[in-house]
Amino acid sequence: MSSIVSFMVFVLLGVISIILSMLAVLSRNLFRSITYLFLVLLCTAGFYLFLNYHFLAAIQISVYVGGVVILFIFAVFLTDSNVKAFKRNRSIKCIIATVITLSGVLVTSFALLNHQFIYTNNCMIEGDMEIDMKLIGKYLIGVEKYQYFLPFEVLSLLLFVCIIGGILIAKSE
Amino acid sequence: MFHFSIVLNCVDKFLHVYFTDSCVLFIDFFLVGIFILVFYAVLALVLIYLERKICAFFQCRLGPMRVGPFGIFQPVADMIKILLKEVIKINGVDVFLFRLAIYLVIIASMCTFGAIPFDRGLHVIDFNMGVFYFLSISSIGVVGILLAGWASNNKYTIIGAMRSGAQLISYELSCGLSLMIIVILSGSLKLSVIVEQQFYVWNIFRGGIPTIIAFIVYLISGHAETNRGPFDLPEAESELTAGYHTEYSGIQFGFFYLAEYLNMFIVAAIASTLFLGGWMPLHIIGWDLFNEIMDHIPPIIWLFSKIFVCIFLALWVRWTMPRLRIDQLLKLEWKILMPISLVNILFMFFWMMYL
Repeated sequence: MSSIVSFMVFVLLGVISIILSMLAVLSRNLFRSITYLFLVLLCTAGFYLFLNYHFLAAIQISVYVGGVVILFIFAVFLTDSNVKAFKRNRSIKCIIATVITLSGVLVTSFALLNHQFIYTNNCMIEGDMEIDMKLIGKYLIGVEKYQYFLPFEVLSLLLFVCIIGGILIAKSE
Repeated sequence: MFHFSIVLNCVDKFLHVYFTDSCVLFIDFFLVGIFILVFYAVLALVLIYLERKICAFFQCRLGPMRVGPFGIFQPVADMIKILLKEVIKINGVDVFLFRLAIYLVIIASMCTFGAIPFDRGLHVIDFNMGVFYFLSISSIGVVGILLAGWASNNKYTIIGAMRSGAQLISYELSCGLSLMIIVILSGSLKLSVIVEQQFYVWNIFRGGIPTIIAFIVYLISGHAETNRGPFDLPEAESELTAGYHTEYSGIQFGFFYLAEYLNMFIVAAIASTLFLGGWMPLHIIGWDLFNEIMDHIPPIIWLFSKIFVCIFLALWVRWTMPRLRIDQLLKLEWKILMPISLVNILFMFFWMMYL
């Protein structure tokens, strides 16, 4: 892909995801904001694809779109649809939220502007540079340096504990 | 041996003579898009005709007979009818979500459709993580169904969508786990590699007992994922009128209908690609003459015959089994199919190591 086309795709994805994430926060209807969030997550998967992180894109879709968003939707189904929390809230919370948001924006932009970006990975321009799945697998459960066996196992333990907790809560008696 | 990649290369070379590289890329994308859309729609017509005929034979009827010889133009007539029908506006509907739901369902089904290898080189995209791509992209469809149910502003559609969501999420598990058996066997997620590996022995025979179990589990759970047959309680017509697509009319309903038929095709296609050798002809080690003859049958015919065998199995089940209740459905998945497929993975490891 030529660099102009990839730049255009990048800008398009960026603009769409910014607009959709604004809509997700500003929307009055709970279900609509979930839908916008879903589209934002799809856009994020698009960014990963753009960087040739195909595996991460698939993970993004299956975990966030297939899991988290559906969980949200079920939560909305199972709760009262006339949520009162969406009334306009002019209390001190607004001020605190604004301060936190502005400080977040400041920190991020400071970091972005000060950081010297090095283009080590030119796959965006060179095109097809898909990472081999075997490499990812070996790195995930390898025990050498810069390999991720311990985090992988700890995470699986965490998920196991979560499942047991879920069963305990569901049992209740 | 005739492969479609020869035709594709010819087209690509022809375009390269007249246009620049980026222009060719653009035209290629355009052509692929058109091809996929047309193929998708035509395949749906074929599937509708086949299903109506086969279902009729199961019930000792003749099926459609009036339109054309043996009623072969019946689906075309149906298509024209559904295109001309009025799209009814419904009060109190969130129009944006109502419309979006259709596209999500059809996009999910089309994205999976594109990744199926129909022949050597004849697939839209061949990811390194092909099998995983199928599993992840098909989850977009669930969101579409849930949105459709909620946005229709109707109690029956919400119940249908809830049932459908629960069903799809739970059956995705055993679906994925049984596909992992093949990944363990072939050591790759890339679909073209998996198909090429089955040159002599198809995976279902190569992997022995664990793959046969996985194939059966995949057929059951894949059948449940398509919301059909004994698992069609999201749209159980006697209880919920039509489930999540009750309020859709005209071409909007047509999209759901199309996606449902093509999902049946896609599940059968994945089953035949991963377990039954995909487009690979039947080869037997040592029988060189036999292999030679089998090679002369085009791969696409091999693939389609395998797929239609799987579809026939699905239709057979559909007309043999009574519909399950929702608790029976969830019990079947969580208490029978998922433990079987989990144990099956362990079994597969032992099979690979010691046999």
